[in-house]
Amino acid sequence: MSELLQPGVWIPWLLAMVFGIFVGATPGLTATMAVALIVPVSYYMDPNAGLAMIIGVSFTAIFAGDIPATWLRIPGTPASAAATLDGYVMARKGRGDYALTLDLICSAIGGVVGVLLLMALAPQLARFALRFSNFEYFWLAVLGLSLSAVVSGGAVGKGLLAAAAGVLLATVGMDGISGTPRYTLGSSELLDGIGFIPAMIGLFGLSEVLRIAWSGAGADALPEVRAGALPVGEAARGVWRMRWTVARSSVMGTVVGALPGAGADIAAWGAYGLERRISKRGKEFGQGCEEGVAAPTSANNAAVAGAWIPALVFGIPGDAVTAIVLGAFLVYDIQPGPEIFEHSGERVRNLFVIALATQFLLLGAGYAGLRAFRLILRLPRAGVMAGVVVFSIVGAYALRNSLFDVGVAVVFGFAGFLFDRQKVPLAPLILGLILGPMAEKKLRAGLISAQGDATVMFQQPVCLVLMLLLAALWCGPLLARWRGWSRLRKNVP
Amino acid sequence: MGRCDPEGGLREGIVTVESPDEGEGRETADRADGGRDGGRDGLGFGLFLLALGSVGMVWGLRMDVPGFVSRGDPGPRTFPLTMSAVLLAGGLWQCVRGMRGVRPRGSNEGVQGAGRGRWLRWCGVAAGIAAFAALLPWTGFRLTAFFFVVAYLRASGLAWWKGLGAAALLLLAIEVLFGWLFRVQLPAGRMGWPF
Repeated sequence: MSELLQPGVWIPWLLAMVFGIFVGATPGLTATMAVALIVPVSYYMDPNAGLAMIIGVSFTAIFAGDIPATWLRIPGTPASAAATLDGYVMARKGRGDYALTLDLICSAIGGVVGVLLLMALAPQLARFALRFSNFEYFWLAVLGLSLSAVVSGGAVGKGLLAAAAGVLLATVGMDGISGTPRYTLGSSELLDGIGFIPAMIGLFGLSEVLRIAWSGAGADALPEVRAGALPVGEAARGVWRMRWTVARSSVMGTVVGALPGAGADIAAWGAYGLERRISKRGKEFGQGCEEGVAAPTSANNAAVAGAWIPALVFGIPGDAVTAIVLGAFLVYDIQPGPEIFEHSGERVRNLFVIALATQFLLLGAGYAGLRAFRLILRLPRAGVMAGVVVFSIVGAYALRNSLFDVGVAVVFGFAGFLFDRQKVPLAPLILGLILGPMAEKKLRAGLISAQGDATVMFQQPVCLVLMLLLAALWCGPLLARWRGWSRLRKNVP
Repeated sequence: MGRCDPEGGLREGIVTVESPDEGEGRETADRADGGRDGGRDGLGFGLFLLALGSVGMVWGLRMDVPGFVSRGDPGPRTFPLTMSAVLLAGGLWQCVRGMRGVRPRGSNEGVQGAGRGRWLRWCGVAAGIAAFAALLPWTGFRLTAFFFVVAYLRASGLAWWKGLGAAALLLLAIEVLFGWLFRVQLPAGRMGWPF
């Protein structure tokens, strides 16, 4: 605990939060990109400082995305799109400062609830997961990949194919079981496989620059943004009035965040939709209703914490941010899995404390961000984009001092742009890269221990439950489609 | 990401935030690309999958298999070959769907005039990034990054002196952070220049 109070930890922590505010509040730049750019920097820090930087960036960037969403109706990150509906209307009615202060407090509360649930659930889940054998992990990986394709938005088929592409790319390198080089083409650099962090930097940093070059976004005129004192007291009273909305949305955000591939954006929309249905003021949603601000903003920050639950316990990331962090964990000597609390207990406890403290620091950093938003808007967009390219390239290189990794980042940048143009979700591709090796290794290790008897993988109780979940997941969309067809047939005379 | 909708759903496509009092969708800057006019939906992705699957299948079949594998182990080729087969089948399916001409909602309207400029801008940025990576081993990081930033800002309409200043500031920040603080040996380049 005391090591977290060292200047070597809290100074980079605060600086990373400022960076998170800057990236989140800049329309077009995502929270995932912020984490992908900060990870190479965090490698050179003390592990606690590195974790603090990553956690600080992820929470602040999600909140900061709400700032342009409220003032300009331009979500800074996809997770802020739901906050735009009522926040922007409130801003037009002259209540923008109130909406954003409410947003800030709700984000911090959502984060606290998410982290507390993470602290409560993760150790219990880990104890349960200790009983898992290789086959359970294999099915869990398949379930994670399928979930990411189903819930990450876009066509399910495309998501599944993206996941398969990720799994294939993850087989590049030395085979962990037989020691056979696969798809290395005689290159020594490829023996270690495709670098995950350079791939992420390309997918989320460079592809974003290419996408913005294509869309030409960023020529927006500077809006009228007021920057007076923020109505903190009034917002705190508002939060108290809506305490049940905030509580419900925070819990829902955590649960949705824990689903692989779901992420903060789906959590925010889910909470908004739920609150709209059950609130007494449901009809006022979309017209500047304060519950319409409180629900999505509590949920999106809670989802960031929720995503850590499967990441820590099973090594299955809940979203793209935790996927990147899983790659960074190896450097910090943290091995995600059910034994994480025994092998890296001290570090995980520090992670919990950092995540909790970040929520309180967010209040200060967010307040400053709200005041500084006008300055952020004045920065030339082209300068920001050029900076992203240079930082992406130096970040990809600095990890292993490898020019090959720069090439990997560039190739993945172009692939990310293609995926975006073709409406293919990126989350399944990332999860394929992460879960592919796990699925293959566990399946083969299980088959070796069962002497090749594949029926064992269908016999264990947890395997059966996971398979049933998988079947439900696959049959759900098919059933919905079939119902749609039947309804359509009935309506056609 | 997806197209957002106040009912709490997430539909595929463009992030659109609808203002309830205006009643019509407006694209955000995040996805303000004037619709998905990048060809028939899924065709590009299908071709990508076919290429990846073919490479995976051909090189997977050529892969050396060890003489001895543990009993029960399906071997190192099974997983990649299975995935390659899935990608080939999926790629074919995506191509067929794309060829049938399913076009995304709201595509191409009002963007034809801007199409040429957009292509030029995108090709410029893409070529710049590719050239940056390709020249890095030869001209080194500092020189390549400096010229990239200056050219990028100039092409974006910023004055020369602003571009030069911004490039110098950016490089100074990277030098301080990576070069001095983290002691990363930034690539010097084979040309042997001192920067």
